[in-house]
Amino acid sequence: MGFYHIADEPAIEINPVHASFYQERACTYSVLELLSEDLGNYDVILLNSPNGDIECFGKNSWYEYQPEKLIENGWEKYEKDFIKIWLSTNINVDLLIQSIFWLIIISFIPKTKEKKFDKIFLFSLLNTCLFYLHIVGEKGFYKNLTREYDIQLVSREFNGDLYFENYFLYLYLMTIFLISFIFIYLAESRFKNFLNYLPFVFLFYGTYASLNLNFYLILFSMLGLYSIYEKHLNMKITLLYLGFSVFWLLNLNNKDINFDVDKLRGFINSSQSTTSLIFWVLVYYLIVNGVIFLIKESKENFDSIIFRRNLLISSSLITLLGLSAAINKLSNYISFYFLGLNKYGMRSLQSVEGNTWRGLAPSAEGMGEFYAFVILFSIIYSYEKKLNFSFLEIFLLLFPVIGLARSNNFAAISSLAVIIFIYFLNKKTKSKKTIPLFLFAIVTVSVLIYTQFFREFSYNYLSSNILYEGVQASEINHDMSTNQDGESQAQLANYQYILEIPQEKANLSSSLRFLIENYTYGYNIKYLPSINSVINVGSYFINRSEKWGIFFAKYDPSLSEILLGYGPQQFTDYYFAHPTKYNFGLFLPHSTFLSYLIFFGLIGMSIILYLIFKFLLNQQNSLALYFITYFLLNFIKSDSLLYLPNLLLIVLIIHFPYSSKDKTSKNYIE
Amino acid sequence: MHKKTNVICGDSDLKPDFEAIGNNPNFVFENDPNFETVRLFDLEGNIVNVNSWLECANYVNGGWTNYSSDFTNGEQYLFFALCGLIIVLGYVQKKYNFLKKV
Repeated sequence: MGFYHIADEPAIEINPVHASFYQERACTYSVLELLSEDLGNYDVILLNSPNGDIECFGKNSWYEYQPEKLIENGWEKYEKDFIKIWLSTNINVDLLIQSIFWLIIISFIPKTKEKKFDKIFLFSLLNTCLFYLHIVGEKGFYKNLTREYDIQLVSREFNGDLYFENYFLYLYLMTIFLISFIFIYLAESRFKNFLNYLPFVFLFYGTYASLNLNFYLILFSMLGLYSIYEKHLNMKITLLYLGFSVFWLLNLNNKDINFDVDKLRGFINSSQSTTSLIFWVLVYYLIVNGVIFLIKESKENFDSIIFRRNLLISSSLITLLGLSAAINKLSNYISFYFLGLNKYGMRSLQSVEGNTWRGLAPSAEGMGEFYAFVILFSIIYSYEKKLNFSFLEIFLLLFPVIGLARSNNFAAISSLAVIIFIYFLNKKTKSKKTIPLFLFAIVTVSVLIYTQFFREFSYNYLSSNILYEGVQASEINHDMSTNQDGESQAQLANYQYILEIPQEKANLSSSLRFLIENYTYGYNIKYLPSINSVINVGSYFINRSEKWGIFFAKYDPSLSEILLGYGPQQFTDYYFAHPTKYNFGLFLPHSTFLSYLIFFGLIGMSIILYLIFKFLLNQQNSLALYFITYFLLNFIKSDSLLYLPNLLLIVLIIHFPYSSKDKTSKNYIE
Repeated sequence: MHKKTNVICGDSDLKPDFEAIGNNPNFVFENDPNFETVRLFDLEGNIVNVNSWLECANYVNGGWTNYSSDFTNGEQYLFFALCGLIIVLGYVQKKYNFLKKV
């Protein structure tokens, strides 16, 4: 067995009969050799096997035939048979190849005025040390991927000799160092132009194929370090964050857990160790500061025409490449690898369950939100700044429209429509009463629609929807009495009965118990619905009752945890701490507010919202209000801030250079 | 080898003296009923089944393994290739400052 191995036998036809041939010859055939034997008689799906050895990179790892199977949806519908071929990749090779590719992409960003970065070597070394914490802390994730996993730079042999051959770790650290180093060199001549090209983070998603890391974490951490060095910090917020960090570290229940990050890969902690928590606390702080540093330094060079054009190009390419990935298997695999996707693109042009098509994105909702924002920004910002559209830009606008329609994100579509309507209404009437009147009209119409069309659902039923779903999701270990139809007290939503079950048998999470007690025994003003009930009713109409019910069934914080959270990107406690019927798979909160409640607690969330609203009040430009309102409306029911590009975008929108001093390309202004 | 031994044979508190084992022609490895038999092979394709941690560690120390890719240390090749590339690029960068021109 050498480093480079030529197959003794040529590849043979890809069909189910030859499965054992390929299974016995792992690490033998490259993807091109395999595809040359694909005669098109079967659907072939190419998948990534991240636990490969370096010498097997790009070669077949496993081969499996999935026969036709009945889809369990009550109808006689079959899922077509297909052949799955896994291709080996490797942690270190992926880190190298994908980073080189993305750094080359960055080099295409046009150069501008230079920005000098000092002590590049030192900061690259610091960044490397930070990412060393990552590989140490997430032992469970990486140990499963490679037998070479070893975190000791130097170890001792049995006879006491020093062992310096941990090339796995040396390679990893060297690559992180090189990425940081080369990025800053590239950044020196392009830094002030990065802002204009930020929309491309949605296209080049940046997640490594075999690591729980995102390329932009490395880049923005470097910028975050420079923001500290150049003293671009808000000391009050820093001290506050430090206080929260101390709590998170002291409160951490150190456990050997490996959380299946699935489509959140690259921006979520897979572990519950102190080291991993320190990493994510530091990295989150650095990337947010890094983006803010980038915005402050680049404001004078911001070009709204270029930014708008890049939003349109990025969204168009995402749609087009999504279509390509759906049609062609090689395109699907290559886009997964070189765009750094969290999840393979859709392999079909058909929507999932008849409604959503996510294309390349890990979440149809998140991408729908982005598409709608592209449209919103293009329309509102252009109108505000009196910017014309070129013919190409009008044509490109079609693609986010198509993408948005296919994503079927009703919240994004309706919030887009409402915001645009309010914007133009405000522009035309210029009356301060317009928006409150409009909102009053919406509420009135909604109530009328409910009373006319949804009367079949009683208020009692709707006002406890979430609680009902939460109870169904809980593992109640008590023999409950049933009625003549066999329905248990839980199914009958008899909350008083459930609250009287002993705590150790009821197994209700602290949050669910609190909500049920509030609903059942809370002080109610006659004819005035409580906040609890209003949220329950509202959740029904936005299709979030079940999801939020599951969230509250699982969310079992102590008092300090509900106030201060578990730390940024920490899901393990929420996910595993409390037994429910949903402790498998990936059940997300389906609301950014709920996710951030887990991360930062009520106090943290309140501070974030207070800072956003304080910022909005101080804004002289009302555009910020429209964009941030759009995002806040969507955050109610989407998990978008669990994805790094969306976080970068919202930080950008909050600190956006809205002032009219921004540069605009001469050709586009009247 | 210490790390590789832990991966192949599992963890143990024993501190083997391979030299002493190698110098003793009468040394016999005792089977450990709590140790799950591990099949090891060498580069020539010879196979041995080991029944104790000490026996396993001894064979691993001699270059045997339970995973064929261990015979090729891809990480080592790639590491030195990358070092070589960095040295070359470092020289080119110093002479021509090409990173500024990129």
